[in-house]
Amino acid sequence: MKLSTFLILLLLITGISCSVSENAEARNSDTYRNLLKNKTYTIKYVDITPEPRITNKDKIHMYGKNSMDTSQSSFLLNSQTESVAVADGNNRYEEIKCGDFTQCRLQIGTDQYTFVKYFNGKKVDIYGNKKGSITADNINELAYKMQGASYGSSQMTRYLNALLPNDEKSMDMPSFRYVGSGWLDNGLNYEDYKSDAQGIFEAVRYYFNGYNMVKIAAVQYWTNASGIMEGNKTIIKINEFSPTPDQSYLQVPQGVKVNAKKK
Amino acid sequence: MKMKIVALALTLSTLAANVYAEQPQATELRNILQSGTYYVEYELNYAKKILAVQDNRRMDYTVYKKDNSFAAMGLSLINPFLAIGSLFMTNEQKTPTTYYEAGKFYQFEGKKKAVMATWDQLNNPNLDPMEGWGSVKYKLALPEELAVLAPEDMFSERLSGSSIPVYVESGKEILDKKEFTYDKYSAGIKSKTGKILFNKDYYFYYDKGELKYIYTRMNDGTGIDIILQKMEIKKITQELPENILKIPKGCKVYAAGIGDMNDLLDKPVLIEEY
Repeated sequence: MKLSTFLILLLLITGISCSVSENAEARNSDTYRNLLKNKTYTIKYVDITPEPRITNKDKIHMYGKNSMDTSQSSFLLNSQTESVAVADGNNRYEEIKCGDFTQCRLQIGTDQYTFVKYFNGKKVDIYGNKKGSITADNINELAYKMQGASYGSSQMTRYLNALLPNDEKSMDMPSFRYVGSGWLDNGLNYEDYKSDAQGIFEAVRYYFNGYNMVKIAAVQYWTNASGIMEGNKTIIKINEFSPTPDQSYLQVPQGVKVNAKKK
Repeated sequence: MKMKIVALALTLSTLAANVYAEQPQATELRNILQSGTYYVEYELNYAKKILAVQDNRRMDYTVYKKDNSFAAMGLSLINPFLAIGSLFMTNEQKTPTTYYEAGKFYQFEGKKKAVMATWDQLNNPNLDPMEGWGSVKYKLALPEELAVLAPEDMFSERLSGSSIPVYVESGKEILDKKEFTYDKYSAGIKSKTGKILFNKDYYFYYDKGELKYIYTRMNDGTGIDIILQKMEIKKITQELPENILKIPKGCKVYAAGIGDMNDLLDKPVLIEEY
């Protein structure tokens, strides 16, 4: 065998083995990706950075679209929110707590309940269709198909959906790809993902303590129509991300009257 | 004998074609909705809607029905500012809701007051979100169900990744103990990788040649097959009622606030008077 042929073969083999090891390399995020795909998890986290304002006059309610968007609530602006997301198959629960208010969405099978927990200074009251009463509603399957599963806040929803593969994502959803990983001086390791969107730079870093996801940090920047660069950052502190659904969240709160779905 | 069988088969196939072809009324409706001059009246979800279109002008009349199934009602008990005010309002039917003419969008607050924004102002971040400018085109659009027959409607939008719905089949179905003939149209909604995420199917139900209902279904082929919404058709015609596209007499039109000094001082600027 000629030397040049040998070198070409060597390069090819090295290339193939590198590409195989790249594809086959297990990452910490794989575990979490599987939990999300299998819909079995308990996630508790704090949105350190408030959601960005959508307009300069955002004074409207905290009733969101498919996700539990709080970005249009002026009284929630500049406040950290604490959230919980639990799933056990088709039973799901999400809440976002800010101050005395906790916005909640509970899904049991094909029924969905939306309600608010309000701490009145002495005890927590639950308001669904009225105080102490909740009513089943249809699940917005179309929204889930078009915008992906919801994991509490829209920021968390965006960056957990970023871990999921593109074949289940609608054209409306952002697409992210793995770009690298490493270790930090403080002992944490990380994985970086970057958005493929045109006209905007968006990158997200998932931080792990050992194998446990403990933080998500993301940045977006773009040039607006006036040529001025604008940006936005997101920091989410994860207190718990476990594979065990906390069943206590997947039940109707005690003492609350449940009304059947309207025909 | 062989000839008889062939003849029978041909007869049956002709009959089947007659029963299971798109209803002839679909062509009439297509002609009306693509003509640029029409009046449609329908009920959908929580609203009764009228859309009148002529000479690139269009007027929408929306009357909301009351509904108390939302948690927002609970929110309103805590704090009235949390209620979704406009969603629960009932309107007088003859009061227009939204109007479009020559690049200008009008939103009415009763018959005597309207606020106007131009097309290029609709994305202005200083617009008051309570005024609902983000959904003004949606209000003026031919609803997606009817846009199946007029896909080029100027304000109608399809889901991202959706193809134009195409005719699939026809048949008979009983709804609430009554038999209807239906035409089915379908559009596939694709994922980022080109995989069909789900199909959106539109069932047009006809009774004695008249379109009565349109049901929109979502089918993902893996178990989710649900009705997304039911539309009841009240009227589709090319004859417009008198003054249906006219801004009410005495109506004062103010410019939408976009963060200028008048807006900050809450002093709307009068720009048109009818």
